[in-house]
Amino acid sequence: MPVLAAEGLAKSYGTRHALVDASIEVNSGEFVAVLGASGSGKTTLFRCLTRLAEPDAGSVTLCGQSFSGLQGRPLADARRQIGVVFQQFNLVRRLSAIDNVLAGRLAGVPLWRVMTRQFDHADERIAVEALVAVGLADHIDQRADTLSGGQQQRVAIARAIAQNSRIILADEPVASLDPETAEQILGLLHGLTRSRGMAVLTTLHQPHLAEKFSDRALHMEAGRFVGNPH
Amino acid sequence: MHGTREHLRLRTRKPSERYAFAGLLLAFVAFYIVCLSVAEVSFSKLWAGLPRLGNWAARAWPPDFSEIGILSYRAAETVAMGTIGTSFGVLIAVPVCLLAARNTAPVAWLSIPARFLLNVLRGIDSFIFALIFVAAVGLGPFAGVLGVALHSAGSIAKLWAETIETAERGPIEAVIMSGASRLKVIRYALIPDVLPSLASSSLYMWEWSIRASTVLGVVGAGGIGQELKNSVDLLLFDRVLTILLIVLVMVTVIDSVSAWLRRRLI
Repeated sequence: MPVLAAEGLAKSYGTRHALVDASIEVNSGEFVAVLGASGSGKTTLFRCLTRLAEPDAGSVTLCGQSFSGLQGRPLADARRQIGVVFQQFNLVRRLSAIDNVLAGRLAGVPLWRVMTRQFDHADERIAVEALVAVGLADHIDQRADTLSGGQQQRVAIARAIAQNSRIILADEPVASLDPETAEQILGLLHGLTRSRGMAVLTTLHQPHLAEKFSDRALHMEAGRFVGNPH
Repeated sequence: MHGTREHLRLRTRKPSERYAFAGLLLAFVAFYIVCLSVAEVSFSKLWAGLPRLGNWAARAWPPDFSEIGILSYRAAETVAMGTIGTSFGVLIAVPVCLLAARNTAPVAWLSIPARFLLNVLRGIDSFIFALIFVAAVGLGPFAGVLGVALHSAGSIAKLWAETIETAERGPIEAVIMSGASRLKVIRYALIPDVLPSLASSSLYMWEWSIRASTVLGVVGAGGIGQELKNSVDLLLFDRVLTILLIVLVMVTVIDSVSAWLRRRLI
């Protein structure tokens, strides 16, 4: 059973068809790259898969359960299965690295603990272990906006690890990074598929990186997958 | 060359645009002239009144410091009115701004009545609120506190709602994807991001409220304004000068403290 499956996703912005009949499956332990030029629909696909944007048509299944019709608490619960990594990192800049990683634990933490930012030791240990796993043991208490781009992206990956998600969806995770750091970040994501059996679906610009790290590479053009999507 | 000519031709206004601009300018000038007339602006009257002003200024010197104790207490009352009023305003502003900001309102339509409420609060000056509260709770600084609280609640909530609406969307989306509830997302992703701006606008309102509180005594709401009105009514200009000096020192100190704190926050 695939961790994530989408069937016939479509999304339009006015008269522009950003996503047309897009279907995709990602399995546990698999690293899938989606390649395409800017404006080809990669980010729209990412946003529809995470339900950060509502698709106009189609369905998404997460770990065998329908993800499409969910609202409110069930939607939030289902999202716990998805770790996200963004091009611009999207960390809370004024919080430390560990506080950002602890964001991945929020769903299971009582509201009063979140309000007072008092996490229990078990959650803090998980966050520290996640930061160690991405090589940031020396930057645990450093404020996010003082970290380099590569370090911030590692924090975002650590957040997904701490969340204990089944799949990581990454939208252009290396587009803002230098080539060496880009390879390190993709290597880290690739390692998670092998060591933890997580699935990774990432959008990318660079075919050579897709070739080096991905198990499968798909291509998008004008909002459609080109070639065989599965 | 042709491209440059074409560009210049496009930059030249069409006659219809020129007429529209001239019409607008004329309308503005006419409006301004009407305002001058309605406001009864008369420089000749000012000129005629100058000797009287000079006479009062001469009578104001030297300032009368014989009641510095009671005047300082009244100044402290003014600072207290502004401070307590603003802090009550902050408490009221917290839920109102979350309802008024379109990205935090539980349902989108709720932001419309919330914005209407804060426009009402903001639109009515603390002076007018104080006037009403003097009738309700009696003379004294508490009426001033209530007046400042309601007006500053509207202003603070408006500033906060605008700050929240322009907050970075990315970190919020990242925390939403962790499966956190709405309140947790607000606490964990939104507040740390906007807190310096929220604190800065609150400090600005505190500073403003203290300045506004200096005149609340005119309607019987206590503070240094009450002493100012009494002194003017009794033509005690040396006492008026002392009060103005105290207000100047008080406002300068508060402005400096507030500016220093705001610099540290951002």
